[in-house]
Amino acid sequence: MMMETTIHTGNYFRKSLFFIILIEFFLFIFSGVSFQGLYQVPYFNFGIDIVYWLFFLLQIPQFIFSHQIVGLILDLSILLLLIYSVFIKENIIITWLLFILLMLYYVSLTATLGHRNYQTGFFIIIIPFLFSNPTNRKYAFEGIRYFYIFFYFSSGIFKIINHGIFEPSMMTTTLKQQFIPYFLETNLGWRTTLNLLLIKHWIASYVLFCSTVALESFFVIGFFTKKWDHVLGILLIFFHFSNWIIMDISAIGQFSIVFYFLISNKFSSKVNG
Amino acid sequence: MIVFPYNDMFSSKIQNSKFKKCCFVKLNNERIKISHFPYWKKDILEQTPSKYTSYFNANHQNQLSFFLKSKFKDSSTLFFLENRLTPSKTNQADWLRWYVGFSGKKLIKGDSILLVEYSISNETNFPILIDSSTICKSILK
Repeated sequence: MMMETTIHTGNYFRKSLFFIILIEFFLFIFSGVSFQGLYQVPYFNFGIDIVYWLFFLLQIPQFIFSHQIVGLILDLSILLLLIYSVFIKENIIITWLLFILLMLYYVSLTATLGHRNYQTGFFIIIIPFLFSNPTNRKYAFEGIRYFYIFFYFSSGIFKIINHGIFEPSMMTTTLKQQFIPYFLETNLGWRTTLNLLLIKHWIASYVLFCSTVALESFFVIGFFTKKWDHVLGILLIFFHFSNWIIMDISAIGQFSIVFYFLISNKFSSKVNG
Repeated sequence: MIVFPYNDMFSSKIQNSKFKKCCFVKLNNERIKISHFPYWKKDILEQTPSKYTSYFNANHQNQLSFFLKSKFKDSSTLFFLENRLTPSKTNQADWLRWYVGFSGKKLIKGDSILLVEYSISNETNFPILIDSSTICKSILK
């Protein structure tokens, strides 16, 4: 038990995860959608979700949207706090601050987008580090692991329950709708060529869709054993990379979750060994 | 998603998949191109015109406005929640200007900005424009 908790609080593990969150946040900045990029957003939309309500009732996102300098300060603060966490040392107060700021960022970004987005990994993965007690931290990691196993597994199951898998044209229709801007702009890039090829060869598209359902459903194994976590991590890399290539959906916010699945098994092996 | 991790994206057959309505913004009669942007920026530029069009057509109310009206009968509570949880009734020109600025275009006096809804046919192997209508327009003064 003692050895296990030491691994979960290990500096290398923590630093690696925070370094990946740092890369994720750099990519958000590069995409032009950091806090500062959301300056003067006049319209936002979100549903019935207590987390969004909490921040918006306090008028925090509205204040950030209307003050560019506040957005800039928050972006810099997140970067500095992440750099501190990676290169200097662990501090619970700083970790709490980071968690709140990144969750606020997710809420502001997706309210601007107009709907919730699945890329929550970049702030949810911080939750275990909010606990200084090693046992609490370990259980928090367990909770997050099951949270994401259920998330990916449910994705596969819903495609069966909602009959998507029984519709051979499902993938080609999705591809056509996903790429409307590309077609209207006569974007002649490689992604459009690939898209046209997949629309033309609907059997290949359908096989891809079925493979996705199989891949997502495979996450059920995570409920019973941790031995396959590194395989789940590799599958996640394959899944998100394919989504990026074919659907142009890049899972920037999920990098840390993928890394967690890849590496958690390695740590468990050390414990068992 | 934050409080419950289910995910039913791309799980059900798309209803009326042969036709789709989607919205774009035109600056000086030229559609603003978005497909070259990184994912998140492209997604915001792609999704927000349709979201704003629904809001604009519903007399500046979004889904949450309707939910709040159905659940909270007390006028002061309703006013408090609407004031904080739904966007203020901004001038359409503000939204159009924000969109153009967010897409990285510079605006100059006299520029015309249009929010246009397109009807698109998916009956062939690639989408074809079949109709369009202007939702709102602004000329920069």
